[in-house]
Amino acid sequence: MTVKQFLLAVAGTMILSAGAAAQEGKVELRTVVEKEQTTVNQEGETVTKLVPADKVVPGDVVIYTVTYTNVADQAVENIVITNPIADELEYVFDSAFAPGADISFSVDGGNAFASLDELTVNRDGQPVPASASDLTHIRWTLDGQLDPGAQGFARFRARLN
Amino acid sequence: MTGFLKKSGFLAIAALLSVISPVSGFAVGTTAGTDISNTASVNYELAGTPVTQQSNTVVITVAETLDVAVVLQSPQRTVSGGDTNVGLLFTVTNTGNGNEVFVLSVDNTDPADDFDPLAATPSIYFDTDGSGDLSVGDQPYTPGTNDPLLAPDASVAIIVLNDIPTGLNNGDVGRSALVAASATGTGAPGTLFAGQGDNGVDAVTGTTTALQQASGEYIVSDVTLNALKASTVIDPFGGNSPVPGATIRYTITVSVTGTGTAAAAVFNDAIPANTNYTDNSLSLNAAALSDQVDGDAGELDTSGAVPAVIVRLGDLTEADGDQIIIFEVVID
Repeated sequence: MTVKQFLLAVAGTMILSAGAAAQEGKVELRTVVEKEQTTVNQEGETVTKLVPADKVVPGDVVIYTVTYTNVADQAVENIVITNPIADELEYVFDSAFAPGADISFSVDGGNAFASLDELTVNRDGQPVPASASDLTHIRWTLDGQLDPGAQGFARFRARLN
Repeated sequence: MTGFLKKSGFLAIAALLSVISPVSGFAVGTTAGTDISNTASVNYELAGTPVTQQSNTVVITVAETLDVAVVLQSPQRTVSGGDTNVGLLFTVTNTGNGNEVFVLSVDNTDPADDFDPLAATPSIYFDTDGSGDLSVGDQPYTPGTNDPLLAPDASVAIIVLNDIPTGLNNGDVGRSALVAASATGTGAPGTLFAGQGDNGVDAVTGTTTALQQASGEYIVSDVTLNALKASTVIDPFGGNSPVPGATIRYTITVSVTGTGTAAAAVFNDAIPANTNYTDNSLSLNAAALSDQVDGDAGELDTSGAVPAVIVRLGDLTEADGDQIIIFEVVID
């Protein structure tokens, strides 16, 4: 094989083996998960800090942070970031945050999105307001455009069932 | 889980699994070792062209929480000095989120009681047949050999046997505790056992410290059941002569003395020879009891060679006071 073919083959292998890596694109999207750890310091004050989520047990609160960066040489528009909420996790109300973004949720696996107070689910045939455990996805819809090199983040907290 | 379990103890533990029944409706959370993946996605427009991309995937693996609950199931046991193998029933429940082996022990050293029960040998049994007390098929527990392996939410019924020392006073109380400890380890909540959870995940003690105990009580009682029988004769002529045709009214006063409970006390009195029971004459505390076997507390038992009056008095204590049983017979 030629050197070029070899390099292509190697590149292909690398993509296959790196399934957890972010996709290449004009917007770099990175997800980090951390755990809230609450301790009481020597002054008796409660201190909450973020630590790596390497030991998570039921009841723990984890924080997902999605960072987006425009790596293109021109502005991108109409940015919408969507993150699933795993079955084992329960969204912590009012924890979704992203500067300058509208936040909406889904209760049907990510098909339809609406604000929390508009979402209902059927229980015993009756529509009732969605609870935290009903939520399957969270979505941040960003205002305006993202200039080349600009960066932002979206974040939410969830409790492990 | 422990390395021990994975080696020599495994067969014995596997054999025990049949006695371990899951308890429903007791949520302990996501199972240890569960991987929770998260991948965000982004949609945007670049020069009017819609683009969709995925982020990297982050995975959190649920660690194992080590938690246990021990609950006493028996009421206070009434004993006499010198009694042997008096059982207390407990349940041990795995309230953690992983499969866990628990080591059991008995602690009779409660400093606040009046006497220390003496642990029998062996002192711990699995209530294999679920009867609630020691039965022929119940398997003795040997630490390190058949430590119970419990799935999340599963529990096992345990019987603790104690002997009662002699020379005790009426009313003395002795306590016996069943202690259950996670085999992986115990400690203040958050104590880490790196890599020692299910499938090699980390194990962390939960709010129970993975070490719990519950106590049962023995109370010494020399309960005495007293019965005093009196009779009155009423002859057909208005006198008190025991002649044929005269009625004998028996009045039996039953009472309890002592601090304990006379459990399921039953009064049984044969109808005297040469007399016949007077139909519907039986009463307890002035309330009539029918002669038939039915829902009430007494009857005339005609199944034996000699008919007998039977009255079931239930659990009697000194506080219940005198129980008055009356019946009548007629002299042949």
